[in-house]
Amino acid sequence: MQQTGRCLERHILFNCPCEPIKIIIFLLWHSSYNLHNPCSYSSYNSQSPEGRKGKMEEQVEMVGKAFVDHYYHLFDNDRPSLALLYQPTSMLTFEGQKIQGTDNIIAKLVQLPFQQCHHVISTIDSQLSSFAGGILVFVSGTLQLQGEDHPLRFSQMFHLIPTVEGSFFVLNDIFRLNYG
Amino acid sequence: MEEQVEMVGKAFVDHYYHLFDNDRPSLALLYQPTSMLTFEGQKIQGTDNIIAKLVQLPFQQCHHVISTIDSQPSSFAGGILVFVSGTLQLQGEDHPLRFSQMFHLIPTVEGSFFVLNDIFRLNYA
Repeated sequence: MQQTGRCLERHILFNCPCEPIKIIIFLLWHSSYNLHNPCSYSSYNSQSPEGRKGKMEEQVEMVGKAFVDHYYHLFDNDRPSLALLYQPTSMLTFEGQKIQGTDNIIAKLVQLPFQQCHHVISTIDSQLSSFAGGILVFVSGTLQLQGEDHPLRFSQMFHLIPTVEGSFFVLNDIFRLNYG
Repeated sequence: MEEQVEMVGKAFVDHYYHLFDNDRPSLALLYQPTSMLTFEGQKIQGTDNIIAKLVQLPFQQCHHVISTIDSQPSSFAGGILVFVSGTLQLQGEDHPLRFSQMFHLIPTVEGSFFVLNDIFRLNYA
């Protein structure tokens, strides 16, 4: 049962045409299902603390990866839709420039001096920020701009906070290019 | 408020890398049992394990040169996120390595900060 669940998760994560944000919600439902279902609760409880911690770590990794896929897919294909991932309290520091709130953040991102871009992600590291389910995601990769010969290297970190609807929003966002 | 967050971020970064480059075991004072480090993808938890990892890195002497420091409040009881980029010069190596690192600092009752979350990545060409 456990293994079938995991195969299903991977299938949905990589093959499902539904919006990735629904995948995040599915993963949260799946993890809460495991905690509250009487059958799996006893098996969860009978696991060692190390086993439980490992499962939790896995879930944090999965949320981080699902979020990164979703975020850069939107960035590269439908930048205004990133608005759904921010709130009035969100903070972005973009190459040292500080911006607060959905409207200002989206205004900055859509006004960046390129139309088309493509992010290629090299590394994703995720950790629990330990407050009510917050997750820190640290990303590195390259950014190919249309018409440019060489891709730019970048690093970015996100602090994701759970919403009441069972999704996440970006509270903290810091972006830096990595120059040669 | 923003200025204070920036000042704490810079002061922490100076302190952290000074210790790293000159007295690595003393970094133990900046971590607690709940601290988490992900070092080049390897996950490590708790002061003892983290310091063991850092002192066992395959170089004796190193020197960090910091290029950028970005700080933001993490909005939980005074927590601060600090995002750093720079270079790391190892003794005997010709070329410095580029790296990025993020810290999540949590205030302590004594009025200082400890590192709850720490993620380190080299930036390869």
